[in-house]
Amino acid sequence: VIRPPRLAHRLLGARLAPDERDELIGDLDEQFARRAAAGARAARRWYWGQALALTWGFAVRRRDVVSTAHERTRGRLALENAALDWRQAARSLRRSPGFALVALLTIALGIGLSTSVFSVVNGILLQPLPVENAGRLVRLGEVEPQRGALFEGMINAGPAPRVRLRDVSAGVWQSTSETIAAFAPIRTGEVTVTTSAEPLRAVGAEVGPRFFDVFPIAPLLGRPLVPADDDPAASPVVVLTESFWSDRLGGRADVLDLQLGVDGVPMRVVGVIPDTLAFLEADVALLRPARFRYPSPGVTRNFIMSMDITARMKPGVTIDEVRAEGQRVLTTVASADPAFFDGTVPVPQAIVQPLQDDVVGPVRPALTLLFAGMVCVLIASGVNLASLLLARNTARQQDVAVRLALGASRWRIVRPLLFEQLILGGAGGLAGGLTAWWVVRLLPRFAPADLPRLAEVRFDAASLAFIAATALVTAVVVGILPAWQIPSRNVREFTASQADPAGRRGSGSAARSALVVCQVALAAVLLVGALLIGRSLWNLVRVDPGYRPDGVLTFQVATPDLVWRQTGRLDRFVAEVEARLRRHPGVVEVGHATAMPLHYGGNAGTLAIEGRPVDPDNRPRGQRLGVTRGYLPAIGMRLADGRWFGDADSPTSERVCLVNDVFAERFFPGESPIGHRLKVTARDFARIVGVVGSVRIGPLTRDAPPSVIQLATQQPEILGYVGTGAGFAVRASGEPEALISFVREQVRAVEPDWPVHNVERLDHRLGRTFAQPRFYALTLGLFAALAVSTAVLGLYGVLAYAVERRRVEFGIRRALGAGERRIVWLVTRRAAVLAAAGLGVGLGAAAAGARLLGAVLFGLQPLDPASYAGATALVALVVAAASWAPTRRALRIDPARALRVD
Amino acid sequence: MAPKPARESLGDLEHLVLLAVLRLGDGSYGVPILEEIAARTGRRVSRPAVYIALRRLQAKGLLASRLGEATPERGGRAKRYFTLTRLGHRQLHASREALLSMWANVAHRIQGRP
Repeated sequence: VIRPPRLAHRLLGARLAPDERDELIGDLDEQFARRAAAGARAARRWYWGQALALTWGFAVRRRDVVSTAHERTRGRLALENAALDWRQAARSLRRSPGFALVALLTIALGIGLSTSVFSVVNGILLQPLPVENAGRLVRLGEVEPQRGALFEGMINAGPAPRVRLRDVSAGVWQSTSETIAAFAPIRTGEVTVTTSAEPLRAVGAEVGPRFFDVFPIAPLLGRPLVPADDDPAASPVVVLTESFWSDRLGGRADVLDLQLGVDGVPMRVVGVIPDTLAFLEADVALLRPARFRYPSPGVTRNFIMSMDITARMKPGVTIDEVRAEGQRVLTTVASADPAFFDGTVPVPQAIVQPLQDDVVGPVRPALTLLFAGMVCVLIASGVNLASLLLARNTARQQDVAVRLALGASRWRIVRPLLFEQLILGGAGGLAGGLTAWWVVRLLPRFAPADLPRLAEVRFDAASLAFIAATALVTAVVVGILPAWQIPSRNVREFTASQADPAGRRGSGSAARSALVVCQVALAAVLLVGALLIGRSLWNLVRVDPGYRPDGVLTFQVATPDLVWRQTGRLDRFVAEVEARLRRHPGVVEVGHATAMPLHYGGNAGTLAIEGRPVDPDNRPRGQRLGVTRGYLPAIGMRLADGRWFGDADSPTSERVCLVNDVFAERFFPGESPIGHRLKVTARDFARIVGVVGSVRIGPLTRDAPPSVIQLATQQPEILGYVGTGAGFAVRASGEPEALISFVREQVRAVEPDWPVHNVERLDHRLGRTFAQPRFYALTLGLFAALAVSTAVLGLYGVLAYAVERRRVEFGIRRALGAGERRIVWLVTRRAAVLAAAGLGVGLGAAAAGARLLGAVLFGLQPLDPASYAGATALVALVVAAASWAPTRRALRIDPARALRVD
Repeated sequence: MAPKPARESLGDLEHLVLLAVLRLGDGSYGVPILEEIAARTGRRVSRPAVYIALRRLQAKGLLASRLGEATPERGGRAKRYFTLTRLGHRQLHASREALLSMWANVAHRIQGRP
């Protein structure tokens, strides 16, 4: 039996009156049954048509038949009244275009800015990651307990300092897990892609066999990678991302089965996937099977961390269960290596956290802060609107009083005001929406590129809902205000108070003062926030990185895996490239280092100082850097003590090293380290010949670690430590960019197959690390400026109004001989009281909310006195600015004219 | 609501509906009425319009109705049967008289001229 469409059926049931439901639906169903026998689809379509006709046509027209004349009149009257109110509201807005414009701007700005911030916060923090069941994705890692950091010796070979699992732990966990449905190891790095055209440099990812079980992404073309592809015997295949395919390969149609060379290995393209994975690895161009072999526990002490590992939990498993399992795995792995984990070294601690936290965690504090600032701005614009309305209504009170006297109800008087608000809210919402849409569209141009999930920020349904909600709430909440203001006293009393020559404060004055306090408080909160962030940015910019980044070009050269095993090839390459570059007249100095500033990856380890017993609690550990002689002068490091590496430091002479000042202070407090010897390998010592300033290798906010710098020519195997941070630095006498093509040519001349990449001015690279703080500082600064300007306007409004009301009083006072100073005081006293109240509330609120800032600030405390003092001073300035004009007006009052009563 | 005296003339559709009820006799409820009009006039009738006409005719006192039995194909819903009232009969009769007298001796003039 074919049934009528259920939704249509339900619609009829809901819309038709109970007494006719049976008859109408029954008739329809009966006919449907007959039609359905002929063709179900056509019958359903027919049913829908009839049902819609019935619900609308019948329900509407029936009213004509049944409703009484009385009902008809009432309905028409209500409609006509509403139309009247609309017209009245629109007319009164037209009559005061100034008010309408300012109100509209206030709403549009408030809604536009807050919706932009909302869209950013929603897209980055709130929306789940764009993967099916993203809540079940977790990131796995391990750290040393207490320190919460990497063990000494652990080598995090990734481009970003993420928490990772050691390869040995990852291997054991994957083979024994009961809580995890699938693991998705991934590591990325730049690769050289060769097609028939010129070679390309792109970010390639190597992924584990079940990567696409963890991230089920439907391919646009072909297929994703499958576990069989991970078999070393299978023919090598690769999956491209949409952007690489369309932007770099021109979206060619024959992409499937295309043969690509990836770092020299021929691979067949089997699929193209959408750019969904951008949140995981930005700019990734291609994915290929990692074919990674995990080391067995106990065979070797393995501290290498090769992969970022994301896993999908089995349904019903909690994150705590995964964590417990991880801890069991780490204990097992540690017990297989009793020589290292001998009881004095703690077993690592398993880190399991939701993938979303891992991805957006770093920006959460800052974005939360922006959100809080946005809420302040929204409230401030609401308050501003409210005070505009109050001012306007005060002017209308005479009119209101008369209408009340004629018997109008309060509702009748408030209604057009509400309608006015709805018009303003609607138009403001529209303008604000356009602003937000525009800001979100332009976001990629001015937002820092390293903001995670930036590509997912959209102006979407949620943004629209937010606009609708804020516009409506603003209109209604703010629109209710005038209702309170309608005098409940009788008209005689009301008009009497209007004519009160003593100028007692009229109704609404208290409310307006309260609003001004509110405005000043919000401005103070935002000012404190902006000053704190601004000062933090200033601290960051002022940080001495330990080198002179201007005029320096850095670049990296991709070396094939395992090339360091070919004795002599790397150091010959480095020496040859340096020699060739020096021949250029624009090159002042050139050098190579195993880890360059602002490039992650480096090598930390323990060291022993000759002649000192090893203190297990304070083992000297530090970063080890291998450099060629030219490197230190090339990046412009400072020598604090001793000497540089010199010509005499040859491969055959005594091994020498430099330490940085952090190292010197920590391990040689109060004495000079020069002359001491450090144990740098199992057999070799190096003598400390100089102390250099600290170089911050990672982000500027992280203190420089104790470092030991060795000469690569004396210890060529140190070049084998090349992490992702290794590269050349060239100091130029002119513009560093002018050297780029020369650099590429010379490297190609030495090793034609090793691509040059990451060619960048060091100062530009440094500048990019300020992008996020600068963005936050600018946004908060903008918010603060807005809040301050509304506070100025609000304060000005209250003062100007007060002066106007007290004209007569001031006139009398002047006539009785009051001096200018007295009048100034009378006016500004009120401003000062209001501002002080607002400032008190605002600074208190800022101090209470400053904890939010702790994670964002660098080099100062959330209760930084200078910022609070600065905000106070700025508010004082605001008060002065706002009182200027009203005070002048008060001083110009002519007693003779003021006393003439109108 | 007391039936109003039917002084106003019948609308076109009302006329058709009344005739359909007359033709169908005991079996006249929504479905046959709709189908009878559709089949005989060959024109598409709007469902809501027919129901509204039925309501209006009832309000004018030309039709009476009672709830009837339910059948399975109606999903167990009752039919509403309509019958002509005396007033309805009289009205139909009057309108037929009026029409016939208007047609007298002119019908041949439009023969063969649709």
